[in-house]
Amino acid sequence: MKNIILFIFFFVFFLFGCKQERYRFKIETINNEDLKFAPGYYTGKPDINSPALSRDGRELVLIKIDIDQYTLFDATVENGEPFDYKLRLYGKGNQLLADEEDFPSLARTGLHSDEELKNTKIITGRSVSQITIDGRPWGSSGVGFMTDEETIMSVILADNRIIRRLGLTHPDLARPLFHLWNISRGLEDYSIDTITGDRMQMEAMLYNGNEVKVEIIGSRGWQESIFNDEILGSGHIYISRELNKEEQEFLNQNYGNLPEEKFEELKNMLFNIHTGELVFFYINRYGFYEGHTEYRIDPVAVALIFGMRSIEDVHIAVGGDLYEYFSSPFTENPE
Amino acid sequence: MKTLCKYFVLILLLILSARASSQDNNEKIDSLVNLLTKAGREWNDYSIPLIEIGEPAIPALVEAVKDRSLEQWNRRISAMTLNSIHSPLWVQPALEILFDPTEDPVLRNHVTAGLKGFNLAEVRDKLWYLFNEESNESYKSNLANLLMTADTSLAYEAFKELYNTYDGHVQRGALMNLVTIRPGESTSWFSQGIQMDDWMTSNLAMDSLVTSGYFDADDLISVYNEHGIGEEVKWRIVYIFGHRAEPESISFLAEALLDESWLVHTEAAVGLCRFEAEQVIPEMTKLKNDSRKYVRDNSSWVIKHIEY
Repeated sequence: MKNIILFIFFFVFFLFGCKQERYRFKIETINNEDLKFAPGYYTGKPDINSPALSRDGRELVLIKIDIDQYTLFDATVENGEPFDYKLRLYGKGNQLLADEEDFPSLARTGLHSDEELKNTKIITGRSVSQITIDGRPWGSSGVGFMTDEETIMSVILADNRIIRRLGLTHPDLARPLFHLWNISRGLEDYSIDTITGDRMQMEAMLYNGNEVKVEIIGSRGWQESIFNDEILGSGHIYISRELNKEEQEFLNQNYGNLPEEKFEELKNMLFNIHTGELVFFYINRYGFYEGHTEYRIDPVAVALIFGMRSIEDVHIAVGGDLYEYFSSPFTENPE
Repeated sequence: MKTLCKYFVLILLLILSARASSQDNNEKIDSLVNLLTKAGREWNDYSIPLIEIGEPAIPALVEAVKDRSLEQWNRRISAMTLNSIHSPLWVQPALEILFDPTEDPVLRNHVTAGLKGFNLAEVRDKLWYLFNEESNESYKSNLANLLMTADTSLAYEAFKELYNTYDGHVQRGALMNLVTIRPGESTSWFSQGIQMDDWMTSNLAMDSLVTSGYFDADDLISVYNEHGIGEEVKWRIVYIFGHRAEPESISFLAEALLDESWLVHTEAAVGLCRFEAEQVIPEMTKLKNDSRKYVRDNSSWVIKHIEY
């Protein structure tokens, strides 16, 4: 009997010990009572954490829909119905899926281990050199998924390092991006004006105290993935927010010696992202944000825009030179 | 006599009903063509039923295409409808438009799609003349495709010229046609193809060399060893050998594993894993004490990942 109890005790201990959290950035849980979800709305900004977790584990985000009008939205990142432009299927797709076969450490912990990256020569059945050739400019897309100096592995390695230094995980960075994606697509279901048919618009997403602006512009065709997967991209997604006073002062103090043009460029790189939804899926699945192309989602910019890290945190994480960090291609391969 | 009368009446009724049905069909065609000649973006609503009707709709559609008083757009969509019906009845009117220098150049290009697959041997000189006169690469490419069913030797010359253009789609199409016309030259064309800057062309050449029945390993190895050859070209050759069970494959890939280029030695390592372990492992064991770390690491990786 004693042995059985001991066995159960160790088994339970083992289960909890093995469970590793893929998210490191915690979201507060709030009471579900008296919350107003779209298409209902609050007049005046409600005192609600955003993002927040409901008691039943749903991820809630507050959005601004008009001057002084706000509503809550269930933006939960989850695997849903298929998402496939070719088949005209517009479900959530595999938002939580990580490529466990090629990246067991990423799937388990939300970060690659160095050993894992060193030994990766094949992803989704394609050699990493083939993915690199296809991903360079004028390969499978004109602008490319990385520059001519970068490789798929040099980009994954560099981004994994910086995210580790930020104390975050890839799912932490994918989550706010999927939140804005889920909200934008979910809003299409709501019509605020039954006479004009005007749709409810998201003016801004409230996220960790910041007002994040989002603009999504669709396009006719789609971009194929460089991996052997079902992921496709089509839209142009613009994400930005204004600097606050402290951030402006910090930049003035630490980067004020940059020529004006470079200083403005730095602000733009820190607080503006232009990308496509394909990259959202790449982040969780492979830990890939694209190299230094115009579609790159820089993890430092995501951490800053969505208020997961402060300007000082990201400045320290990149080694004290944000301009250098943003403007240098990733050329070191993990071998 | 009575029975004969019955038959006579029956036949008369059949003739009358056939005429009525034909009249109905003609009215339908006229109405659809009339709508097509005024259509905007909704033109498929009229074009698709006309395509379904098929050959009976051709005379009215040809009349619409030839009517210069119509908007160019409406003449073009009429031509596209005729192209989709793809009847021999459209060949002569289409050729008249194609060879008429006073016609709208876009319309002349459009009609080429309707001529594909028909024997055009009788107009081969005119097609060749037009090909040489034309400067638009995309139009030239369409004319070269028509030469395929007019005179393959002229088509070969046309595609040779188009192969050196900058447009990736045109270049890729030219390569496909060159090797279709002369399969015996495919290795030579594909060897050139993998050295082209255009990604579509070089990928087509590379994938074709992986499966081609015409293969010259020595030729590719000599390209690989050429002084100053680009990293991506070397990568493509390594990729090809990694996917073909040639007698030279393992020794060539083992050599490529020493190359400084990450693209090249990584592909060599992946390629080696596709071969028999008994043949590969002795080659890899020799490299375990190489002075270069990436060579030691990659040879160990191959030993670890090759399937026994």
